[in-house]
Amino acid sequence: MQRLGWKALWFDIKKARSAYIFLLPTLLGFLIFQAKPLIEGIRLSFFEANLKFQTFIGLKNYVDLGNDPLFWIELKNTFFFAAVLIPLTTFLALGISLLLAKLGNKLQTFFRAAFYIPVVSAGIVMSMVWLALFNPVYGLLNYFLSLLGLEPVLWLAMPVPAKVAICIVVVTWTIGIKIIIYLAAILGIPKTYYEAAELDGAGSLKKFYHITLPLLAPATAFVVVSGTIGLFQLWQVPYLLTGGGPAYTTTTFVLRIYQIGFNYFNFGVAATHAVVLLGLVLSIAIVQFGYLNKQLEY
Amino acid sequence: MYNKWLHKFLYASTTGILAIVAICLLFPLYWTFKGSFELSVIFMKIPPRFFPSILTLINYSDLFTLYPILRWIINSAIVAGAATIISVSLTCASGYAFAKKEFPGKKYLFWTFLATMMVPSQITLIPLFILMRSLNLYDTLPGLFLPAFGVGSLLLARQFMSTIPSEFIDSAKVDGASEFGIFLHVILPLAKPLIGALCIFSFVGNWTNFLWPLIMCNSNASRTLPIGIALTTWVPGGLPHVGRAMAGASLIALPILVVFFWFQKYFTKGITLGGVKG
Repeated sequence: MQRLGWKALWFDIKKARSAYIFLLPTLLGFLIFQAKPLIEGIRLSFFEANLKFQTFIGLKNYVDLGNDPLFWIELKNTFFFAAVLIPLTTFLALGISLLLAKLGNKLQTFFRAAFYIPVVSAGIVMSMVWLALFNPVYGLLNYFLSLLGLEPVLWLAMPVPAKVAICIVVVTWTIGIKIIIYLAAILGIPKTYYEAAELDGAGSLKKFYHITLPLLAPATAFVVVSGTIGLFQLWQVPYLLTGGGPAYTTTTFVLRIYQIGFNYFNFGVAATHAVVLLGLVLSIAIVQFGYLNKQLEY
Repeated sequence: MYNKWLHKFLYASTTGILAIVAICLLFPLYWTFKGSFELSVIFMKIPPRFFPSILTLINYSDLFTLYPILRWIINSAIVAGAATIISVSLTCASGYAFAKKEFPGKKYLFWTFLATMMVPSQITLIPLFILMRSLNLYDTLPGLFLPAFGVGSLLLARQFMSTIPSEFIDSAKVDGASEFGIFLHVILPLAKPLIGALCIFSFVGNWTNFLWPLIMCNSNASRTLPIGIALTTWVPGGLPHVGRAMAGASLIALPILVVFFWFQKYFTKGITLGGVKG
């Protein structure tokens, strides 16, 4: 019986060999550039490693990480950016896309393009122009503040303004994609649902709470989870704007991985950071998906 | 009557609010382009001029005479182009296999691929860096585009391929077409919207990529445009020559905007098709 099972499987595999040929290049690429580096990355976290040598040191990197005050600071900063930016961008995107859904086709297409352009523009482009806009001497932001009679702000050199600055850049850079996802979901809700609710005498607020919002739950799940994963990997904007300063107030997880790994070539410690990041991202994604799915079921 | 006016008013104010949002979101790009055509002293003037007045090409000519910008542009084009060709052809082939073929291990393989989409790329960064060095690909163009391979669009590809009716494949089989012939002459022509969307996302993503080339480039021979521009017009926390910085940023942004306007319908299709691609 066992032999027959193997034989049948072998027959199926032989019959489907064209499928494997189509998959082979992807599989090879996956193994070489994703699967093996992933295992390698986890392995490196147990080593003291640089460009020249690797020595096994067990859990020392993890213990050191726990005792490293900077680790807790970068963790706090990363959570801060996620905690501020996820609700902010999600609500803004939902509000904007609800307004957008009310417009005619032509205006919708126009605004959709306008909102999406910053998303495709490179992070470096956005960061560079915002460096100019935040400049304390010639930057436009301080000019606007002066019009309101306010004192100039050293945007990138003070702890709180620096955090605000990074939030502003991230919002303007990334909100467009969320608007487009929400808009597609809103336009996908069948009109008949609303008509039926109207027959039952439901007002617009009731319709919003009982039809629109629940039916947007999958879009919300996607926007929140992918947004969180993205924000946990935030590094380019702080790298270019503040370098993680002042006094580490904008140092994020991935910025630190870059600095440890490629300024100091301390591969083992950087890999340890990356493993912790992996654990964080996966557990947060699972928790969020679980929570939002429950919301979806009611 | 009253209702009609109210409706018109609401419509107009909705449009107005969205126009303000659009202006806020587009302003940084406008400011970049405007600054690229102005002398730095004019760009930095307070009170600022919001509309361009005296235009000059000096920032661009400075960039091209001072730095090997052309080399960087060519490098960027090669890297983004090669990465796009590789990843799109692989994604199409595997998407087709997952959508239209039955084979042992299909489910496991598919979920393995999908699960890696969640894995932050930073964890493979250092091992890939070590791998590329050991293959003598450090500071070379192949070292930049080979690891750009990804299965991120696989879900989208499979979803699109599964909407292609199997009758097309069956009738081609009856006509005696080979497996590869079917893929090339039946599937790919039908998957043009998918290929368009994949190409654009991949090209834009690789053109604007920053972390990997920052790590992998050590000479002008392999630097891509974003890295070269950052290296020459940016210092941590500031722009020593703001006019050149804006011109450099414009050079990075311009090809993306051209691609965007040219293929706009593919963009929105790509985002909304699977709902899962950004």
